[in-house]
Parts: sequence; C-alpha cells; structure tokens
Amino acid sequence: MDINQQNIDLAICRLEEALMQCTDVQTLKAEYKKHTADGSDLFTMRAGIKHLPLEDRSIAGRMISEAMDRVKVMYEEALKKCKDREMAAALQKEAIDMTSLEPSRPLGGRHPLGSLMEDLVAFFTSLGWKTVQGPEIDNTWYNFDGLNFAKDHPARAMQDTFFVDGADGKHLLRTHTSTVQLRSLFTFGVPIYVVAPGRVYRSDVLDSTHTPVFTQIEGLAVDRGLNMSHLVGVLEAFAAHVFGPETKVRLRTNYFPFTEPSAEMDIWSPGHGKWIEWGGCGMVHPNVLASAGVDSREYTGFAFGMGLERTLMFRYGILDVRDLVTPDLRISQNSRFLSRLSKGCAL
Amino acid sequence: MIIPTSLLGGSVPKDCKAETILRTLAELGFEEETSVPCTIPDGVVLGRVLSAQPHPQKNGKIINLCSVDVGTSTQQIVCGASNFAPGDYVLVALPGSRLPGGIEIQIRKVYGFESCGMILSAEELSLQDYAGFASSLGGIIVLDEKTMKGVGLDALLPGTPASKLLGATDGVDINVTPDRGYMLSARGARRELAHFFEIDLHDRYLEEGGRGEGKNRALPQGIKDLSGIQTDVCNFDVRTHNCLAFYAIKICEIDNTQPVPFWIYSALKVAGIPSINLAVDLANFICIDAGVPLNVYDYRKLQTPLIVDEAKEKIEVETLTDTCVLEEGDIAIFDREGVVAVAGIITAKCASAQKNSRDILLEAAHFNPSTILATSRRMGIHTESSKRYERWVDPLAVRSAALRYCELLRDLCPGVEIEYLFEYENFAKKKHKEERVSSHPSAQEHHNTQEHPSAQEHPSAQEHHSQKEIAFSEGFVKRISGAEYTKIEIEKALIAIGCEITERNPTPLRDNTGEDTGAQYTVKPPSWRIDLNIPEDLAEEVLRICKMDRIVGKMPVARFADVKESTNKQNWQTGFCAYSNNLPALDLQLSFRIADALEGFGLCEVKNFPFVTQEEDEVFGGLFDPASKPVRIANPHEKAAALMQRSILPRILKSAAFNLNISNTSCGIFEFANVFWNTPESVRNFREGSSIFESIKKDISPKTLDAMLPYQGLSLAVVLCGTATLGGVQSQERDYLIQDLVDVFYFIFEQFSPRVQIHPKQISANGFHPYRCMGFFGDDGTLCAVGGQLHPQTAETFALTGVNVFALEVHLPHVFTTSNTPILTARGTPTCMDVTFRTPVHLSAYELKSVFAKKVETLSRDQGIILDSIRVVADFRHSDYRAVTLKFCIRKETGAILKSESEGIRDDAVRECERVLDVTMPRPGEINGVNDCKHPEGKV
Repeated sequence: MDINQQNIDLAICRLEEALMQCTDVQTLKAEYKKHTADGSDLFTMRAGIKHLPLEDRSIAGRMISEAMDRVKVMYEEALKKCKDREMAAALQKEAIDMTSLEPSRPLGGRHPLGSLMEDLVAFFTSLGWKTVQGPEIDNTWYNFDGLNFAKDHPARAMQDTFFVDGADGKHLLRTHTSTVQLRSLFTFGVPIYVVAPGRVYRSDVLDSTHTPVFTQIEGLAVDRGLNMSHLVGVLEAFAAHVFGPETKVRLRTNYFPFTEPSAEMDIWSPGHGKWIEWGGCGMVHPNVLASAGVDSREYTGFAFGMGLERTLMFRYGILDVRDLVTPDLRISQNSRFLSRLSKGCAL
Repeated sequence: MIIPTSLLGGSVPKDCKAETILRTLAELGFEEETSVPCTIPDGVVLGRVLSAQPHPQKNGKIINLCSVDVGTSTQQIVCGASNFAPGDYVLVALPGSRLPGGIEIQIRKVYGFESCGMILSAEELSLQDYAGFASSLGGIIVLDEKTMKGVGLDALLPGTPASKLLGATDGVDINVTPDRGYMLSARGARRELAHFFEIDLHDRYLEEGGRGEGKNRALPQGIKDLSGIQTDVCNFDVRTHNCLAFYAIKICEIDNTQPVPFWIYSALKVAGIPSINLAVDLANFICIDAGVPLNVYDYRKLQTPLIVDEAKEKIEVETLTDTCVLEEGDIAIFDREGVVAVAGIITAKCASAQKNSRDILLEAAHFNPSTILATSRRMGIHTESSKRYERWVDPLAVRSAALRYCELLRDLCPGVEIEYLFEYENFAKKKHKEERVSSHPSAQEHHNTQEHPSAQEHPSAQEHHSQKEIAFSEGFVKRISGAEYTKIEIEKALIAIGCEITERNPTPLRDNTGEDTGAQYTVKPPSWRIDLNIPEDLAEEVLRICKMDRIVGKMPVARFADVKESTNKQNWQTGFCAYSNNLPALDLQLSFRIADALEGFGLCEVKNFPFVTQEEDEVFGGLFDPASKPVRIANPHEKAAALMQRSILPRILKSAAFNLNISNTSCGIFEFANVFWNTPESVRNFREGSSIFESIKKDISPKTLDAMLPYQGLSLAVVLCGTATLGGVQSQERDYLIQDLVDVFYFIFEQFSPRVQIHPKQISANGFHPYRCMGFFGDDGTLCAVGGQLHPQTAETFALTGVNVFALEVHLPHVFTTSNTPILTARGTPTCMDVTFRTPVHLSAYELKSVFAKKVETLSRDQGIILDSIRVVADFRHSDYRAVTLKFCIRKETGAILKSESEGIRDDAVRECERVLDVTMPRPGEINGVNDCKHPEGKV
C-alpha cells in the first residue's frame, strides 16, 4: 500500500466511522485495535516505511506519526464519550424518587418549659447576671421566716404548702423560688444580680389554671442606690425579650411579705391587646436584707418572680395549663416549632 | 370580698357603675375579680294590675290574661298565678330583660295570647329566701305596705325600676391581700374611692361613738348606760390579754320574725351571706359595712356571768352546723354552763339567736389576730368573722359599729329597750401587762397599732413599733421609687389613707447617700392599718395613690462582690450551685446541652410530677444510695402518691406507657428532674439540730440548716421502647435495641466538658434485667449512672407489656469530670490493628480493654505515638470461654509508624494482658469464627 496522505486519511476516516458506531467501551477498544494493530492499513503503512527510498522515509515517517497522534486523540475522545454514556446509563438505573423518602427517625423535641428556661437564662446571662439554683425541699426559714413571713402571718395561708413528713413542719416543698434569695445573699454577699429558675410546689388541685407543681424564675438584685426605676428597666427589657419589642410593663401595688413596696406586674403586647398579669415584684424588704446580714441603710434591692407555665400560656395562647403538665410527648414535638420562633423575639 | 355598691354612696360620683368602681379599685391596687349582678335585674319594673281575666285551658290550668300598667304603657301579660287582684302592685320583667339563670324575656304567644313580659314570683328572681316575700310563696310577688316599709302604696309609680324601688344592689368583687384587712368592708372601699374621686369622706365609724374621749364617746339617745354598774343580773369579765376590747349591749323586746329591709337583704345577698333572721342579718350587715364582726346571742339562753377567757382544756363545742373542739389556749366566751362562742369565729348552738328570740345580747369585741388565725386554721372553720379578725379589725370602730347596730335595730323595732351593759378596752402600751381587767375605759390610753401583739412577731416591725410614729421623708419616696413625687402629693396621699402627719425639723434619716431628703415627717398611721410600720410601707402607699407610671426604667449594670474562694464551689449536696463566672449553674447548663443533644438523637423531653407511690418507689429502691430512705410528704394530694421520687424512672416509665398508648409505636423520651432521699446523716442531723429553728434570728448558719435537709440532686432518665426507626421507601422499620441504649449513654457522656472519667461495669440493679444491666462508676467507685433492659416484671408493673424496654438514669452530681490536658493535634496517619483474646466467660470486656489500653499508652508515650481509639469489636461466646477482639488505632504526630513499631507495641500490650488477666492469644484456627469478626482493615 502506498504511503500517501490520501491513504492515511482514508484509513483514519474508516477508523472514525467505526469508533462512532461503538456504544460500549469493550467494542470501542476492539475496533481501535482492529484499525491500528497488525494487519490494519495504518499498521501496514507504518511497516512499509522501511521499504521506501531513503530520501522519502522522513516525510512518510512524519505523516504516519502525525496520523497516529490524530488517531490517539480521536480514540481518547471516543473512549471518554463512551465511558460517560455508560456511567450515565448506570446512574439512571439507580434512580430514586427523593421526594418519596420520609425521615425514619422519630421526631425529637425539648419540652417547652425547658426551652423557655434556657431562653430566659440566656437573656439574663447576656445582662451579666448569674444563674443560681436552690433545693426544692427546703426549710421554713428560707421559705417563710427569713423572708419576713411572721409566724402567724395570714400570708402563710395564702399558699397551701406541702410539708415533709416527720420534719415537724420545718421542711417543706418550697412554695416559691424566693428561697434562693437568702441562699444567694449568703453565698455571694452584695452587690448581687442573680436569677434562679426552678420548680416550686403548692397544694393546689390541678385544673385549667392551677397545678401543684410548676416552674418559676426569680430575680434578685441588691446594690447601692438601686430603686424601682431599675426594677422597671429590667422588667421592661425582660418583657420585650419574652413577648416582643413593643411590650409595655405596668406595676400595680400588691402585697408580698418579702418586698416593700410590692407590686403586681402587668404586661401589654400588641399580640394580646390587653393587660395581663405576669408576675410579682418589689423592693426587697429591709427585714429580708437583715436576715442575710445586709445593711438596708446602705444597700437596697429589688426582686421579681414569674411563672414559666403562665409565660408560655401567654406567649402561645395556651388556655389550659394541663397541656403543659401532661406526660404527652407531642407537646415537646410541637414545641420545636415554638422554640425556634422564640429566637426571633430576642431584643 | 364582694362589696355591695349601694354601700358606696357618698364616696363615688352619682350613678357610678359597678364596672367603673371595679376599674377604679383595680387602679388603686386592689385586684379585680368580677362584678356581681344586681339582685333584681335591669328591665324589671313596678307594674299595677289593671285587669285580670281568667281563661281555663284544656289541660285544666287556668291562666290570667292581665292588663298591666308599666308606666310608659299598658301591656297584655299572660300569668299562670292567681294570687293577685286588679289594683295590686307587682314586679314585671319587660321584654329584653334577663332573669337570674339566663332566661331572656321576649314577646311571645302563650296559650294563644300575646304576652309582653312576665309577672314575677320570688323564685323567678331567686329571692325565695327573702322573708319579706314569704307571704307570696308559690305565687307572684304582690308588694304590700309591709314590704315597702313606710312608703305609701299610693306614692308608687308604675314603671319605676324595681331595683331602685326596693333598694337592690349589685356588687364588686375584689381580691384583698392579707395585709389590708380594712378592705374587707364597705367602709374601707369608701375611703379608697373617696380620695380617688376627691370627694369629702364622712366616716361615721371614725367620727361617731368610737374614739376614746369627748362628746364622740356619748351614747346615742335611747341607749341606757349601765356599764359603770356591775349589776348582779348580768355581769362580765375579760380574763385574757388576747381580747383587747369587749362591749356588751342588751336589746329587749325585739320582733325577730320580721324581715330585714330589702336593701339590707340585697346587700347581704350580693356579698354572698344568707339571710337568717333580723338580729343576725343586721349584725352581718354591719360586718360587711364596717368590717367589724358582731355576735348576737339569745339573751334568755345565757347563764351569766359572761367571761372571755382562754380554754384550760379540750372542750367540744356544738355549733349550728357542726361541732368543733377548743384546745388549751383558744379564746372563748363562757357562761356559767360552758362555751357560748369560740371568740371571733363562731357562736355555739346553745346561745345563738333564733327567729323566736325576744331579747338579745350584742357582743362587739377586738381579739388578737394571731390567736384567732391559729384557732380557726386548726379547726378548719373560716367564717366572715374569723376572716376579718385574722386580718385585723379596726379597734376604734368596734364600739361605733355596735352602736350603729342598735340604731338600725331601733328604727326597725321602735319599741325595743337598749341597755349598754359592759365595756372593756385594753389598748395599753405593754402587751404582757398582767393587769387585771377594769371595766372603766376612760383611764385607758388611746390605742395605737404599734403595740399590737401580732406586730411584735415581726423582728424589725418591733423596732419601728417601739415608737408610736414612723419617721418619713419626702426624699425617701424618691430613694425607693427613683421618680419625683411632690411634697403636696406625698402629704395628700398619706392623709387620704388616714395617717396623721406632722412635719418636723430636718435631721438625717435613713439615707446616708448624702442626698437631700426634703421635708421630714412624723407619720402616725390610722387605727385600721396594722400593715403600716416602716417608711417603705408609707412609700408604697404614696406610690399606690399617686401611681407608678412615672417611674422610668433604667438598666442597672450587674456587678458582684469579690468572690470568696469557698463560694466558688458547687454544693451538690443540696443542688445549690453557683459559679463565679456569670454562666448558669453548671448542672443547669449541662442539662440544656444534653437536652439539645438528645433532641437531635430523636428523643422527646417530658416533665412529670415527682410524686410516687410506695410500690413505684420500691421497684428501683435507692438506685444511687442503697442506704437512702424516701422522703414522705405529710399532706399529699393523693394519699397513695406521697413519696418524693428517689429515681425518675417510675414516673418516666408511666409516661412511656401513656405515650405508647397514644402513638402505639414509638417512644424515646427523656426527663431531667431532681431526685430526693433521706440519708442516715440528714436524718441524724435533723434529729439533733432541729431545735435551732426555735431560735433562728439573724445569726443562722446556712451550712447547719442545709445539712438537715434531705439529699437532692439533678438526675436524667431516658426510656427507649417501641419503634426506633420508622419503615419507609428506603428504610427498614426496627425496634429499639440494647445498642441504642448504650449509644445514648455514651452520647450523654460526650456532652460533658471537660470529659468524664467513668468506668462501665456489668451490675445487677433493682428493676432491671439481671444479665442486661450496666452501671458507670467514677474513679472512686461512686455509681453515677445505671441502665439496661428492664426486667419483664418491671415493664409489666408500669403497663409496658409486649415490648422490650430500655431505660437509664444518670445522676449528674455523681458524674466526675476530668481535667486531663487533651492532646490537641490532628497530624499523623493512623494505623489500626485487631487483636483477639481467648478470655474466661465472666471477664469484663472493659477490664481487658483498660489493661490493654493502659499498656499501649505507656509504651507509645516515649515514641511520640498517640492512642487514637480502642474498641471492642467482637465478642464470641463459647461454652467455656469467649473470644474478644479489640481494635485499636495509633498514630504518630511526626510521620508514619513503622511496622516493627506498631507490632512491638501490640505484642507488648498482649503480653501485659496475659500477665495481668486470665487471657491468652489463641493459636491460629483454635477459635471458630474469629476470622469472621476480623475487620478488613485489621491487617497491618
């Protein structure tokens, strides 16, 4: 066979045609071999170079080597195309309707009371306050006497208390988180800015607004020069954090043995459109400061406390507190939605 | 307290509605409950029957077709009753009015006739208990001369609203805090409202017949003063200092069968007090009007002398409804035969005034609030009287209230004889003066609240009470409130609440801030305000009356005292835990983090009450302290569930059963809660130290008190049962396995920071499967967590049948954290190796792992090699031995580990295990299945 450009082109053309018809890698490789290996036109031409006159060899050699390069590129391209096609076909076989897949793990969730407590604690932490806790079974001194509840004070009848058997009326299930007031004053001294979240107990029968076991958060600040404007300032920021930035706070005088003046705190928010009672507050009674050995001429302080159940009920329009004290885990699963929302309410 | 609005006349603007009054009182700091509807509703008017035509019906009934003049028009009304005649005055409910019980009157056809309203019976108005209407019982109300009390029937105008005509009233219900006893009366409300509406108040109980001297003291005309004379017919004595005032008035020849005027009946009804008889109703009326409880005896049933004294022994007293038992020290009124009344609480049946009583004895008194409170609480009897005495009755109004009673009664029964028999007042300075009673009051000093015995219970109240007055200043209001209140406002507010104020020379007072304290006052609180003792009390009153809305919020900057070393530690003993940084208490912070992690694990948090029954408690017993005893509640809600939980497991398992019942497939839940128990030490400490409570003043030792408390600490429990993975297109449904429980265990421990140092161990614990239970122990051997599969019997106890239940409890205070410096490097390629041991059946895999790991660590340290991980990857159980395979990975920070290095470490560690433990390396092929368990990467 003559070694000339025409024959070379022809051979390449034939190879190209053959390669193009291949659909799988195996055939492609076979065709390539057929057109380049022993017996093929290209092979024959290359082998024929050595029979040419000396002066023609270099031209023919160059032509053949260029041709071989073209063939190689052609083959690589065809191979890649073929492989891609094969891969695509294989992947197609693995097709899954992704929208048909459902989560296989059960839905977890924090209890709304737990999430709220974390949220509130985070708020006070951001103000630089400490969070402290006290025991749920406490003694009458921390719960009543030290907090200026006189022995026969009618206020003790206000809260029906669970007492511990065999402790002669000295140990009880704390009726409020205010027990932590004296405990923290003893521990930290003054000045002090603390919150104490926790469980409290009152001998109420469970109904739509009462539960014998519930959760409170207590705040206590004692420092030089504190007055009710500081109390109002903290409560306003707190209410805005919990109920949204447009929330207003109003105080109405009330009675608590451990604060004087004492006030009921009402909040108003656009969501509620009316004043609702959120918690109690006041200036720490000089007798309480005296119980902790703090000189009330030098230091003044304020305290406040609110129920977490009540807070949740207001925030999410829950009408029956029993929805929050049920063992039903659906309240927690649903609260995932609530707790995420709450993050949007931050200051 | 429900206050009838009819009693508030003169202190509110004319035609002031109940809602307005309620709102006003709320603004003044009295929590509003609700308004109480008028005893006669709107739309009920006076009607005059013009004609009544009987129409017999098929069913045998006879109806009257009446024509009734209702003022503006004449209406046709069908009436089923026939106890009236043309010309009679009746009460007519016009269309649109709403009767008690919610029935709305409409124009409608009755027996074929159009009826435009309803002629009313007492029942339809719910007034059947009013004696004045008793004559018309069963029929409609026909107003007669007697009912109208002196108003001539001719003067009546049809169409007049019945409520106005009869003096019916509505009421306002407010919640009175325990410090404000004076608000348990219309008198108190009158004062508050008068100053709000700026109306001059006439307080008859203050201005007439009350105060100790002068012409105010004079008895009204027609009352014979026999108090100076101790007649032998009837005499009195007061033998206890807990009775501070006692007045006795005898009223003879009353007609106790006649009804009280409707306006008094209506006021009582609104206040929720049933009508009994004239004498008692009037006393009750004075009680709600003046806030002074009066007691009425049938004089003829008394065997004088009458003595006020403390009971010397247990005495059973029969009251009208029940019996109660007096104990030693309770105050009572005795006659010669025995107890005639439990002082300030309830009258004995034998002495109480009945309808047929002709002569009565009126008792007005003032008793020590704390003794009344103690007695009534112990007896469980709470009356209108005890409620007021407990909260302080104005001592200066007692006498005037009694005299008002006499006047009212005399108006109703003009022929009565009234004798003022006895008066005793002991408003002396010293409480414990063992001074014998004198019936002569003039020598006594003015009362002032500050010497009241109950006030002496307040340690610091006493400090203020030692003076008669409270020192106060203009600047003090600012110091407390942080807002400006003018001198005039402050003075006005204090005068409005009844204080006497005198301005005095400025002296530094209660304020060492160096600020100008403004005008200085000496304030004398009124006799009805026992709650005003210190300047803060007065400041509150100023803020209450002048409102707090001018206080502008300021945010204080939190700061703390220098923290002492000792306070920087957690006191897990009582769960009280405080840190010097301002992060939340550690256990709280941890609980948040773990809860978030478990949520991500697909578990739900639940909350339960911590009360358990004896049986539930015994299932797990003292998991974390075998010597513990449960804490029992003395007065539980449910008698059965009287114990505080020693473990969360009983309650969370009940929760699991509840949820499986609802969803019936899957339940993975967790709960954080405190657990409680008595330890032998806490019990002993309490036994030995509880006397300290008697003398606690200021110098208490928190530590001593806390050591007596039961142990308390935060626990976490997890329960897994039912479906762990839900079935779906690409997922296989499967139930929770024991592996899931172990995953949760380690997942929880992962959350601790710094890392925990704990050791797993096969254990058997109450309530758990005897061979599938593990405990985690601290370095010192303290058990800090227990978990495993539940014993089938336990599952059954908690109604969890037919599923495998896995549960764990971690007692957080027992978990030890370690502060070992971690290796913080990410360099080096790990080399992993498997090694299989032939071990005895009973050997703990963890023990083998620990020995191996310890040796590997020792060997590698010198070569700069790090032990990355070590796991048990296979455990084949044969009849008399086990094959346990460990897989461990090591790496070198500086580069690749040579094969000789890694194999050297492995072989040395194996030899160490063989030396320390009863284990051997199996010869190849010795153990069947070993090859199966080898991890493909296990070959070095």
